[in-house]
Amino acid sequence: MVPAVGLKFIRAAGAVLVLSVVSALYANDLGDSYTAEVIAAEDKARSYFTNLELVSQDSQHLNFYDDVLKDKVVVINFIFTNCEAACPLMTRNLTLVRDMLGKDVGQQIHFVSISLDPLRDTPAAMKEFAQTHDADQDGWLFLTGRPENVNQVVKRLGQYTADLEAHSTLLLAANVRTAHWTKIPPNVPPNGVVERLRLLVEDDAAL
Amino acid sequence: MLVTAVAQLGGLVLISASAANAEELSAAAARGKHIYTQGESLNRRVITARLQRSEAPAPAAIVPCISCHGADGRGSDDDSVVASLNINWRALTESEGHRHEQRSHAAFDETTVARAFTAGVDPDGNSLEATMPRYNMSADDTADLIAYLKVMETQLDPGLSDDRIRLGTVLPIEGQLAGVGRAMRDTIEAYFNKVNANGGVYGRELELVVGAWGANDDPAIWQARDLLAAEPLFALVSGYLSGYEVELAALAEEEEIPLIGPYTVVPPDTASDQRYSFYLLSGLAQQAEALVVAAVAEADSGATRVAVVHPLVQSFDTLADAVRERAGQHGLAPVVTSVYALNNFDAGAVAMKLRDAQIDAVVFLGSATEFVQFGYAAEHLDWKPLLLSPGSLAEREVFGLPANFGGRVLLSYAALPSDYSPAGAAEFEQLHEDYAFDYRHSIAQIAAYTAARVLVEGLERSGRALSRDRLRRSLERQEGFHAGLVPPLTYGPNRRIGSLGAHIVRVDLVAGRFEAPADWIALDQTDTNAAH
Repeated sequence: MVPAVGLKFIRAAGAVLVLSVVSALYANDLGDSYTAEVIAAEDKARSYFTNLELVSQDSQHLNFYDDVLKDKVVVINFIFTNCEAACPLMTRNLTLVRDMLGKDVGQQIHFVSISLDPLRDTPAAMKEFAQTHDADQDGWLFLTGRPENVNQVVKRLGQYTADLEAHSTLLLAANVRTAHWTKIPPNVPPNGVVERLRLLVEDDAAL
Repeated sequence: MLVTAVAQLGGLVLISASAANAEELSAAAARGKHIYTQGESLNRRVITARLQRSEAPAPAAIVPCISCHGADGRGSDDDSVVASLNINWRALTESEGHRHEQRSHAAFDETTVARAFTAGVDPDGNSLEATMPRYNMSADDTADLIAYLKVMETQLDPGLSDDRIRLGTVLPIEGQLAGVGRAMRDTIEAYFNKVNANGGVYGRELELVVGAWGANDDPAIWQARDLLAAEPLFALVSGYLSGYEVELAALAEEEEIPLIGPYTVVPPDTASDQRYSFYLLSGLAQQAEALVVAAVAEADSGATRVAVVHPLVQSFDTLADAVRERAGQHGLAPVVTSVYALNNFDAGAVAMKLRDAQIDAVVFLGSATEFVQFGYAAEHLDWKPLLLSPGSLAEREVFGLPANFGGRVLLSYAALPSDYSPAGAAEFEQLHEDYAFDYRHSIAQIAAYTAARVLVEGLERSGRALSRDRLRRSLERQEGFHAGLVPPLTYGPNRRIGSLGAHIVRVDLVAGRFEAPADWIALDQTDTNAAH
């Protein structure tokens, strides 16, 4: 005669066995097409935003979609280090946002500043700019690169202008995975930006 | 007001401290420097000047000391201004007195220096020249200016010290072009070593600092920027940053650093806003002008119809205008320009268009392959215009042209071995022997060597009291300078390409060789090129 405990065990094991068989069945049907959809969406995004190589303030050579955007919630702004007024101000506002988000930066949320003047903005110049503004940290990329790469990326982000002085002061905030992109005008105060970013993060929870 | 003054002052001291070899200025000397260079007081007092003994005061800002006495107090080289006196403190005070044309006087001290620039008298009470303004300034400003005059001599340009001059060069040391870059570096180093072995330039050794690019895809101009940010350098010599010529010239203007002889076939020729760059030889655009002139000479007829065919690239932006102007100077019919998108050359279409326009001569500025395609397209249409192209573009495949074109192909060269002077060739040979550098990239190496020669000539002409500004002005005065292996080089306030003109070489397609001798077409009026 099998002890009661043993019987329970066998029954539990059996249940697990059945469950795993069933879920394996389901994975083959639903799981594959879901994955395929995700992959297709990702491919499209990668192809649109491009995997062109950009260079960070630490001279890391990064592929734009895969290394900077993929699977992240990002806030993107556009600067050049010789900018007198708008860029230092924008960067300062972003540091306030960063202060409010604390250690979420680099974890859930990533900051990206892209140079509009890539030939003058060497990685060293970007590093200096970042340090001057107390913005040189993990989770905040200051990107430059070959002009043809940078220009193409900026165009794809919809922020290209031929006139450097008239450059975009918009923030782009996105949950790349859910393809939810928003534009934040420059006059939104830091806590407003923080709120929008948190909403974008929550997109993931809704999945 | 005190806070403002301090803030402004802070900025000033920072600026002068960034010149890596300059001693840091005291607060007073920093304010004095502002007076010296701008003619204005940071103490918010107005400084006025009386000119030519007139009683009406003018703002001193229109005649700051620097405008006549120069950045180093040794005077302007502008012949129209009489201010070549050395007003460095040592010269003023540590002598037995001065003897001038019309007067002599005892050595200066603080009080008498002040009286010189406020009352216009020397220590013995004689009046100074009438061209020296008399300045009206507060006692504080006077003291500040004197504080600066005392240390002015110690303010040396970056990269310059008592015993050394540091020169930068930006070259591909890694990657595809490493062979060329390293050969250029080795050539310049050899020449500098030779100069140093002979005592340097007025006792200063030349040191070459290399900014290396090519290890990755990053724009080479970054290397130039990083080099200037990291190292105190007196000037940039030679260098190879193809594709970034305009940016490099802009960087030189930004940093106010002389840029001497970068290796390029497209020197940016905007002389009016380029005070600091100096290029060696005629580039493709200049050669195009020479080829147009050659086309006319060949046909011996002003009625010759000439077309210029070139890809749409930034370097050729002003080409059409330059060629038009040149054609006008020679009484030519207007030159037709045919532009095509880079890498998108339709030989057949262009040939047909130009044939229909009854063009007699085509100056071609595309690749060698495209040149040959064009030749075949023309032959196909039974049309045989004179074909002209820069040798650096076309020579690689010129013998691929249809033999039908016979003697009707002309190539241009900015420089040829016929430019070597016997002494120049011997010197270079000796250098090669003494320093054993690899010599497989002759054109680039000759360019590097020539840039170094031009630099040293400029340094020597500037004298021991050296500054970037003096070097620049010395270079601007070079006329018909023989660097040994290239045509004579001439610069000027409005002239930034040393040799303006090209050799024209006829190609014998049938025999498969270049014909000698080559004619020289000068693009300038100087006689120094007539020797060819």
